[in-house]
Amino acid sequence: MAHALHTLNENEHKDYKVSLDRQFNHAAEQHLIPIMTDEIFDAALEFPLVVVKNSETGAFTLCAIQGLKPETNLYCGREQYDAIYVPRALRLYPFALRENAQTQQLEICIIDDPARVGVESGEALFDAEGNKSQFLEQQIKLLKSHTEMAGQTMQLMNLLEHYELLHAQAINIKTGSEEISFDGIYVINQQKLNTLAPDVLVKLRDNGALALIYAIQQSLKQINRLIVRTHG
Amino acid sequence: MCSAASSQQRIVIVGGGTAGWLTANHLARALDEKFAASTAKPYSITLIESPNIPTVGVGEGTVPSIRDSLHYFGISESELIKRCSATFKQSIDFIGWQPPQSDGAQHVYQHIFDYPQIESEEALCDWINHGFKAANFADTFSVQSHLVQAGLAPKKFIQAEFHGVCNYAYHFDAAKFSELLAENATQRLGVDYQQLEIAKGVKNNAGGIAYLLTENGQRIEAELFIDCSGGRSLLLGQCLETEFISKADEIFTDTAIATQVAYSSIKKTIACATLATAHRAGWIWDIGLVERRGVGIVYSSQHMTEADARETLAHYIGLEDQNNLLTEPRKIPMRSGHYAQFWRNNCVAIGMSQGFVEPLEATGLLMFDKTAQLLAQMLSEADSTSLTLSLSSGQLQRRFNQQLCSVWEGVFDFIKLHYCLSQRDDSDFWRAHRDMNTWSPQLIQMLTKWHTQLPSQIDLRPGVFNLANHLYVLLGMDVRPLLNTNVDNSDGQLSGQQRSIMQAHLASLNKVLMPHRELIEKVHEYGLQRI
Ligand SMILES: Cc1cc2nc3c(=O)[nH]c(=O)nc-3n(C[C@H](O)[C@H](O)[C@H](O)COP(=O)(O)OP(=O)(O)OC[C@H]3O[C@@H](n4cnc5c(N)ncnc54)[C@H](O)[C@@H]3O)c2cc1C
Repeated sequence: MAHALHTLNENEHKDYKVSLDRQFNHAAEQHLIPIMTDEIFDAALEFPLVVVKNSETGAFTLCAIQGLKPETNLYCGREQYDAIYVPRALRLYPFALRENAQTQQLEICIIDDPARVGVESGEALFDAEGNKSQFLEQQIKLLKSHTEMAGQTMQLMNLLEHYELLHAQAINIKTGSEEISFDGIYVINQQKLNTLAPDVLVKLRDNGALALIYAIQQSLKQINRLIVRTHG
Repeated sequence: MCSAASSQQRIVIVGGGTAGWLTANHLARALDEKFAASTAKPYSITLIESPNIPTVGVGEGTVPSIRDSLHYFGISESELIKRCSATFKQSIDFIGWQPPQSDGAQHVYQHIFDYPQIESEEALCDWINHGFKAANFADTFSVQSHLVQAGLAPKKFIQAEFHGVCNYAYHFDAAKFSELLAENATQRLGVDYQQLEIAKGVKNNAGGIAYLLTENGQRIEAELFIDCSGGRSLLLGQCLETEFISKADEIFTDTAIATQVAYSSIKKTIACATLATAHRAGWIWDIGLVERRGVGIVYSSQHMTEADARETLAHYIGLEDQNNLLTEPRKIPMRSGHYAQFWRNNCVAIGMSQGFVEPLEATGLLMFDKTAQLLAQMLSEADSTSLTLSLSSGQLQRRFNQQLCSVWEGVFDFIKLHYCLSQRDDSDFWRAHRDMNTWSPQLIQMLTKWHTQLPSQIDLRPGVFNLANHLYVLLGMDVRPLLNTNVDNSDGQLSGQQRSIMQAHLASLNKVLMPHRELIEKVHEYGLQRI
């Protein structure tokens, strides 16, 4: 991730092309992948979903575990991405949104990763007239929904915190001779969930949070898939 | 005197310094819990403060148990750090408490908050006989002393509030801290606040307090009066004329001069320890907050003139920083000792009104916090549903007084320990401290035993300073027991191993901890999570 971020500009990036990478090699050394609320039901069927703190701001963030150790990923950077659901955060790459410090407007940026971005081959960003290509339009749509959902996800995290529905849990896994322990992870506090006041339960049901909370809680079972993959 | 069952038990706290507000928070929280089920509160808590008499305004160093109290009161750590200019404290660094070494370097030792990680008694004996030459006690048996030297914070930013990789306390602005406590007590815990100046307490026939008389002639009655009036001890001392046990013949320091110094640049590193630098007739404290330092000299007026003390303080602050003084250096008299009882009849004293020892180990807040907690605990544990019984229980009062007396005696011995072990010979102040006639019998007994044996917890009175605290001071001052070396053949090997364990631990912490100021700035920007 040491690649520079550039604001996309039809003059400067007129000839740029982005090659597709269905192995998502850029995330090969990332074991936690951010997940947004609208992805929870899909992601929960394949990956354990946990809450961690953003190391920069301390804010709670929802993530899918894709590797049992830091700097490993059991899906990305492998021969084949072996799951049905691909988190949107993986699909966005090499694009990102960034707030312009002066105008406070969100700007579309491209990550200068030579493995994916160049002038030789791949999907063109602009056509001969300098209009955005269909590919780029699609990516922009993806970025926009991601940003929208980021707000919703933060609200969900705030709810979890407000009703004290999170608690820290170290996850200890024995795989063969190796013992792996994860800390800094927060999961749903089942006991608190079971003793929520009726009016709070109704509120969480009506705003859709309750189903998401149960899905996050259930997803922990997917840890077994990762264990199996470590051995495989 | 039997009050009707329906009437509320009135608790009146006199004084709005740190002691008064700590007490208000402790009592309100504990009684709130005890009577959570009752529809009407069977008690009321009122804090009265004079609009004219200022608080003492010093008291910026704490010990780790303050974290438990804050958490219990429902005050968040982020709030404390943002509102009280608070910083993290991991140690008291004692500078110059023994004569300089042969190369002229200052003698330095650290009293850190982490317990020493002594793998085995053999390892400790090995250090005492051999290992001390390679590294001092704290550096051998802890990582925290290294962290302090490297200027690293005691917690990771993503750790929950009140949690750290090492044990820690805070330095903070005393006035802002009182404000925060006051706000919490009045806004969240239902404590009443009134600005009134009390002229005096008036005794009843039973030897308690009948009522308080305000300056404008108003009478204030209550079932329990808590005296937090500071050094003047308005109720316990002045009204009830309780006997004061002076410790002036053990602890000679009786005066302080305090000031505040702005940092010369906003990027200046903040020390993660209280610096306690010894001088000819006492010592100087130096406490780093976010925008300024609190600096003050503590001295014995028998051994040093005020002019000398001011000169010594100015010299410590240095020419450059003399221009950065935020307050005129202010003289504060100190009286070492404690009252013979702390709870008499319907009056309990908490704060400087119950006793005082000079601030070398930040004992002030610790003592008042503990006392307030003890009182709250006793009142809420008593199984009567009304407070009337517990308030008049002679048995509770006796337990309270006995426990506190023992704690105070232990505190005085512990402070004395810092002085009496010194070999400094540059004044009568230090020589007088070595005179065993100024030691308590208990201290003589302990030091005699520790001459040839390792200290153990059973040597100590139950109190607030335990074995680890004593080890840091004793061994930090290079007073090592003369152990029987016949059985010892490890030649420094065990303590060498101990050092390697700490080095490895340190290497892993170095990767995850950030400099002290950086963490404080991050907390100001983002706050810490509660979990
Ligand atoms: C030099 C020095 C350094 C110190 N350093 C430390 C330290 O590092 N760490 C630590 O923990 N402690 C330290 N202390 C101790 C600490 O400052 C005090 O113990 C702490 O501030 C508590 O004081 P207090 O609340 O008992 O009294 P005060 O702060 O004096 O408050 C007294 C209160 O009583 C009120 N009052 C008084 N008379 C009346 C009246 N007649 N009517 C109505 N109200 C009245 C006043 O208005 C005031 O609100 C230090 C003390 C000194 C002197």
